Amino acid sequence: MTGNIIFDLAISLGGVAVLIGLSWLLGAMRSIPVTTESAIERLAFDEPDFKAGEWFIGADSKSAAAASVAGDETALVFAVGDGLATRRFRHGAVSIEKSGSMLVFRMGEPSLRQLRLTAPDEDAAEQWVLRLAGPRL
Amino acid sequence: MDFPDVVTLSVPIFVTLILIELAAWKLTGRGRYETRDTAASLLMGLGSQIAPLFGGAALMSAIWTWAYGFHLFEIPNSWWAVALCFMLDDLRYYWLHRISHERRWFWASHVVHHSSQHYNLSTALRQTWTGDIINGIIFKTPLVLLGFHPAMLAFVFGINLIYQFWIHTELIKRMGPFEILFNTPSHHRVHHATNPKYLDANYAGVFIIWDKMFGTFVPEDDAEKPRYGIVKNLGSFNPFVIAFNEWIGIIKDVASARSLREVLGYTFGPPGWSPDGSRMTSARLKDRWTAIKGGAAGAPAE
Repeated sequence: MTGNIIFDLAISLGGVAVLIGLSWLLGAMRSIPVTTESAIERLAFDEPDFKAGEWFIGADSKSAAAASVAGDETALVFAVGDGLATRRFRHGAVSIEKSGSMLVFRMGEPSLRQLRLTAPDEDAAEQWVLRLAGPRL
Repeated sequence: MDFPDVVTLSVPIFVTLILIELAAWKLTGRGRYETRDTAASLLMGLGSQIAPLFGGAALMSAIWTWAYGFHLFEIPNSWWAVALCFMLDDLRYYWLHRISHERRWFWASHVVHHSSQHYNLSTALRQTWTGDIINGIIFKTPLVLLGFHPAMLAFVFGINLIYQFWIHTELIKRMGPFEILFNTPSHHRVHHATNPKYLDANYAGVFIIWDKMFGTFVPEDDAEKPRYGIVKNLGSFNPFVIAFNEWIGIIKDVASARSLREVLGYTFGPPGWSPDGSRMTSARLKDRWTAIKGGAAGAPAE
């Protein structure tokens, strides 16, 4: 390091850029598709007491949702790079809207303001909104 | 005795080891890298070096210099003093690290380091932008007051930091008798895991003996592969979101609090604390796991 902050910062940024570029060149830019199997497996790990009913896997394989068997909770599974993450909430706790053939969950988190789930068509989206929004919405 | 800036001197070694690990991942399939995750980790690391330049480093230096004027013992700059300082600083690190997992105020900074679902050498560089200065003042000043010169303290902390870099890897499995005394990749994989069995374990920096002494040691179980990240994984690779996500959560919760008890609980309670118990703390996650799967989650090893 040279002691010149701007110069040192530029060197560090250059180093970071090289490492990121190399990882990209080596094929590390990967996204995992959300499938029924992967969604069930991840949810079983994160929320082992969630009893999922029917699964709704997004048409773009980026996210999935399931209502609980009891019908009072929703679980979401979504891809984050090559990993999966989950959210679980009681019906009414999260606003769910239909936008064309898409379900939009207003999560309101800094890292997840909203989550989009693509249905095969508008009718399917409407049915899933009714099922996941629960009686309170 | 002059103390070199060992962290800066080690940067080329860090970069080289990451390159080697990347190559090993590509050639052997061992370990796991994802470009956006790596980018986030490296940018968090870079940011953690820039953040103290906004006055925090100068403040910490001023407080240490002031505190050194009141030191209790005359400790010379000798090899035994450095060794003693290193040992005490590692004990200091254990308790800071433990409280960083057990109290949300400290967790809000430390969660950054755990926010990756990967465990590789770039994860080691995923560091907080918000916690080092306050934590340094609170937890390191007592060592200055004892009589350890601030320059010696900075040196041993640098050595500790460098030690903790190489243990963030899946390439090294087990290390035999070395694991009895020292923190190793295996021990630290447990620490980064979200499996209920592994939660709140292995806080050590260099010496794993602290965990064994204070009942927080859990060995890696070959039958239970660690899954890394946090119990509610982030949905973003944006470094600013990673840096401030938990702080925003605290602000939102405090804004909705209905009593001083709730304000204190949301701020200084265990991560996941809520007044109605609707969220999950690590203790409740372990209880749930035990109820469903049987066995004792995270039971300290015999």
